[in-house]
Amino acid sequence: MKKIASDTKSALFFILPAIICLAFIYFFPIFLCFYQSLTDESLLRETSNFIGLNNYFRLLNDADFYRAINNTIIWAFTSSFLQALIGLGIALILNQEFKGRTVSRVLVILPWTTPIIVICVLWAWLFAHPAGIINYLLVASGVIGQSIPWLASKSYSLWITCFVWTWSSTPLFVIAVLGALQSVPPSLYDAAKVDGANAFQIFRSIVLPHILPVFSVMFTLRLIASFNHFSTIFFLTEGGPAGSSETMPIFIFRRFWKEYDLGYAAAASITNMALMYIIWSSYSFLRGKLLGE
Amino acid sequence: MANKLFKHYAYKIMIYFLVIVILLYMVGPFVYMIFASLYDKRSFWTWPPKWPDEITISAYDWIFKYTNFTTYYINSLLVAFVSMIINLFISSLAGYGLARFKWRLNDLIMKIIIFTYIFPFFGLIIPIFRLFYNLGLYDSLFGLSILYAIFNMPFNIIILSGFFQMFPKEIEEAAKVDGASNIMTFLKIVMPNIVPGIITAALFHYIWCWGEYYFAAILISKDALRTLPPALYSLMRGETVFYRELLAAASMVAFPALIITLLTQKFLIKGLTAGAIKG
Repeated sequence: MKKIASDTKSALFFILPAIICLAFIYFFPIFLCFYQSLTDESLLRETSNFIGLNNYFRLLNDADFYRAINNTIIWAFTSSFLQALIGLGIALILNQEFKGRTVSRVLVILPWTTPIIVICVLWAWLFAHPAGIINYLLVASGVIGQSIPWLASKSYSLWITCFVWTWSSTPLFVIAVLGALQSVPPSLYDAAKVDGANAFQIFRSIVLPHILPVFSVMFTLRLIASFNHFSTIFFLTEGGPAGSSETMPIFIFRRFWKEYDLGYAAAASITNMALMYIIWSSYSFLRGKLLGE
Repeated sequence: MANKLFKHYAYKIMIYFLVIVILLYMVGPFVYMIFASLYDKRSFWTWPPKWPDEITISAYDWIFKYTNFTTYYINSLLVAFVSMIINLFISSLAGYGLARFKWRLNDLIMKIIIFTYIFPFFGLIIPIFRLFYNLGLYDSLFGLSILYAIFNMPFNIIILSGFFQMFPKEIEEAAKVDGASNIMTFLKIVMPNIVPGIITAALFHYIWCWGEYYFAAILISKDALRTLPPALYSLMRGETVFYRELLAAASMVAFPALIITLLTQKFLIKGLTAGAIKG
């Protein structure tokens, strides 16, 4: 009994500084955000009133909100699926024996370690209209008749930002899957080859079971990160044109800094968080079912 | 036999072809960016694209001449360094506490840390802004450093507590039998042994705060205190876009990240793998 008491004390000594810090930047502001969402606070007015759940009702009648939710879901799921797919493909290839394997594995991390702003400068330039290299190559090869203003176009802006974000986050999947692939005992491959299994069979019955746990964790983490992701869209299009690439983070940002509608933006933040929480728990539930944990 | 040899070479060629495609896709854009920033002005703006008439660093000169790039660079380095020290100190204490002591609230704290991860940080902006403004931490690099240090704490606590868990408990207990206190054990026995973990956490922190835009844009208004991402963004959103000069600036911002990735890849890959497996 005395041991437990002294353990609690020691644990407190180590953990307390972090808890105080987190309270300062996270808990206290999150609490304020909850409170703010129940008021009509705005930077354009001196005073604010408590208005209960009115902000949330307003949200339910806001067409922009539904568009933002719709865009976010499309954006986050497309990007996470592509990251997983491309990441898996690259990892499987980089897991083969070839000269320069170590260097290649390091080089593919670069898009992830480079600041997003640099990546957006780079891709904004590559996608530039009309004098960007991508437009040039597509026109020269006859894929498109004339140069397309990719980032200023209502039909493409969401997809281009999604592509750039996918490109910069794929390395995380590559590294995670490569790590998991290394945990496969080489004797398993040999045994399978002796039994005459083809590449697809080896993938299905040896590789897949080994990478599935890592893969599913990674997918959820990337999904959450994509749902909350702000910078790529903000730097490339600021949610435009005409809201066509406006996801929830950009929607909330616009309420804050363009319309100064603090209470409403806070309500949107809380709603967004609730949605994320649903995704997180349904994932935990599914994971329990799938992996039998 | 010949058939088998043919198959072997066909497979090799295919692998090399695919690797080249991957590298072109993932690394090609960076190479092109750095190359283009070294173009002379006339060749850069020639259409259709052509090989440069001359390789020059005039774009880099322009950046240093017309912007306070050196100041931004120093500010960014300063904030990254100071926030890293604060972060690592507190995160490693907490990571150790969570990994070592059986405490009723451990699970709850882990849940809270995950919760901070899924909370959209936009909801925190106004309260944080007000807090910092009232504490006199607005327009202060120290304020920004504190914010960065704490904001990245949940993530580093998770990473570090994973490393602490891997350290054998028996060694610590032996030290305690010899009369060392908890703190002494932590400082003298445990810390020196998890240096790889500390380096990994430091790397993740650096990578994150080197590219952080949002808080830097909101908490800093003076030009002399600006960090690189907001500076680069305002160049990008200028009335005329000087792509050649912009690419030069972007290359310089990317440079430390590039060097660090190449030098510390082992830690990065280990950290990422461990982080992904633990989830």
